[in-house]
Amino acid sequence: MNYFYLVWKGIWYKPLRTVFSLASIAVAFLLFGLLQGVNASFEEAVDKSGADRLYVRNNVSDFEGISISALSPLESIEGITSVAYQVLFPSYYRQPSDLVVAFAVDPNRFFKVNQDLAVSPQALATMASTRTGALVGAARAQREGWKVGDRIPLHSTYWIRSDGSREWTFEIVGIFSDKDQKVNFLTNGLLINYDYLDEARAFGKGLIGVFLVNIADPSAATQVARAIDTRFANSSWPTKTETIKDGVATQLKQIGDIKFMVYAVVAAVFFTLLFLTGNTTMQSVRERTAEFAVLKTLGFSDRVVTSLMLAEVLLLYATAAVVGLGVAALLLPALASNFGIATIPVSVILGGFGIATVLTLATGLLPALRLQRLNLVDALSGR
Amino acid sequence: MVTLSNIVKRYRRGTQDVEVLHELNLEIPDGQMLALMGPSGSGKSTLLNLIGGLDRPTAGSITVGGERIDQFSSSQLTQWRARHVGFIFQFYNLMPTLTARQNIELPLLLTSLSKAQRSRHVEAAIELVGLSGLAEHKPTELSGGQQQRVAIARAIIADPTLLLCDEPTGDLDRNSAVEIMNLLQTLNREHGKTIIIVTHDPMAAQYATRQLHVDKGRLVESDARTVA
Repeated sequence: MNYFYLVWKGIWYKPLRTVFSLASIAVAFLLFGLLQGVNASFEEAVDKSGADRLYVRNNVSDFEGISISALSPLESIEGITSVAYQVLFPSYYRQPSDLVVAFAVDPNRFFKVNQDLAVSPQALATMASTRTGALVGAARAQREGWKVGDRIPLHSTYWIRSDGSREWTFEIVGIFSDKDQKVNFLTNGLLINYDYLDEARAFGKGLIGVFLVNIADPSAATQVARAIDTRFANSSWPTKTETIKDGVATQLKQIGDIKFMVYAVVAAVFFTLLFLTGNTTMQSVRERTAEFAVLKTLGFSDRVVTSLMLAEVLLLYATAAVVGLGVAALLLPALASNFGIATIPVSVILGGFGIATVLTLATGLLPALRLQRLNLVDALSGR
Repeated sequence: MVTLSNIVKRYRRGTQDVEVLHELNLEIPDGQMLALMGPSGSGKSTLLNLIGGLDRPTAGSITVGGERIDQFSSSQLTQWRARHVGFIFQFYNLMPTLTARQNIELPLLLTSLSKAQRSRHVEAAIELVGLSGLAEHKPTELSGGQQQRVAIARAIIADPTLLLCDEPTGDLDRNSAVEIMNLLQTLNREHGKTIIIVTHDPMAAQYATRQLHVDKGRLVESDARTVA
């Protein structure tokens, strides 16, 4: 027997109460893990979007599009090294809940701009020669079990074919991945040929969604962006250009201040938990006052007895944190297609255990004071 | 040797100070088995708590083994109790989540003994109190007499010189009470423990080598001579 065993046994003084406490705390940490994981994915999306890349879209909205004829004038602007374009192809596979985010692109241009993605030259060549070809992100391919040569039917929720159908079939010609092996919305998605989409779609012909522009000097991003917008100010498609970092951040802002909401929800959950477990701990200490008094009578110091009690609370929180964050880590890959993140960042795990420690101290403070002031004679006689 | 000199103990009850022990003097030689008897509220448990360092006198001095324990700080008293005193309570006060063996081992966590050494000590104590075969049982699985044996084993495991027993047979039937008193007598006679027993039970008191009555905070020898 050792001190840890004493702590462990103390936790199971009332097993049912412990199980319920563990479950409620674990659910709080699960929520924390999921929400913070999502938060981290958004932060990563913003951070990963380089300042050396510009995002050129229609001044009115992304849905208006820009004519592909703007490509040549765009490439001629000083400071621009390469240009790609893409059209969002929202769709689902088999059932509406299985969303697939696809982009119609010029594959060669796309991979030249997106240097953080890797694809084999052979796959690129095949894509160029296969009108209905598709390059699949590694994460999506793994999830669906797709392989080169498979034909996959997608139902587009936006694009209608010239014959009125929304069913599109693509042949997988290759698989691309993130060079850092990260899972994000691209590696969870699909790339198709822009030329094929443009030819087959019933409307929007000749339009692209956004231009992705690489520039030579990131510090000149503002000047280049202004030059682009000036160049197209009086055209049929006035543009709004910003760094991709700003663009992503702006998009995220449009769906609300996610970080604030996440923090608010997590704070409310843990604040409630503080009262719940605080009350439970106080009740447990009250019920076991005679036991703690016996320990002191046997010669266990105030410090040791208080530490044992705090260790019980910490173990409860830490166990619940491991369970909650563990389940969150298991669930996040399943949600990766929605949030683009497959693992809980280390910072979130450390944050979780930091919260467990703070809650332990906050929860254990009053019971600890009670134990420090325990009158042995009264406690042993049950007064 | 336990020496109490001019011990006064007052409690505050509401707005009034109540003096429980009045200028009390007592000497208990090493190896004595002393029974403290008296009606409820006479102050006998208070006296036991003072000797055991669980409470402090309002006035007077308490010397145990040459140490003035009334002058000890709270933490010094805690350490002193761990080294020198074993407590036995009426309602056993065992840890319900631990087995008999683990309850007995508890005080040894405060020592520097290795796991193997602790295990040997526990086995010897289990043997001494006659609990072989019941060591892995939890307190709720044991009878009152068996629980009190566990409590006695826990009290002697760290080899204290002083055993303080507060109504050790108060919750037991006659046969169990006799067994427990025989055990305490063995610890006194064969192991040299100084034992102080607070009891209402005349049968239990008969096992003592000396009997004292506490009456309204004063000590009276069994021959009715007032000690102090």
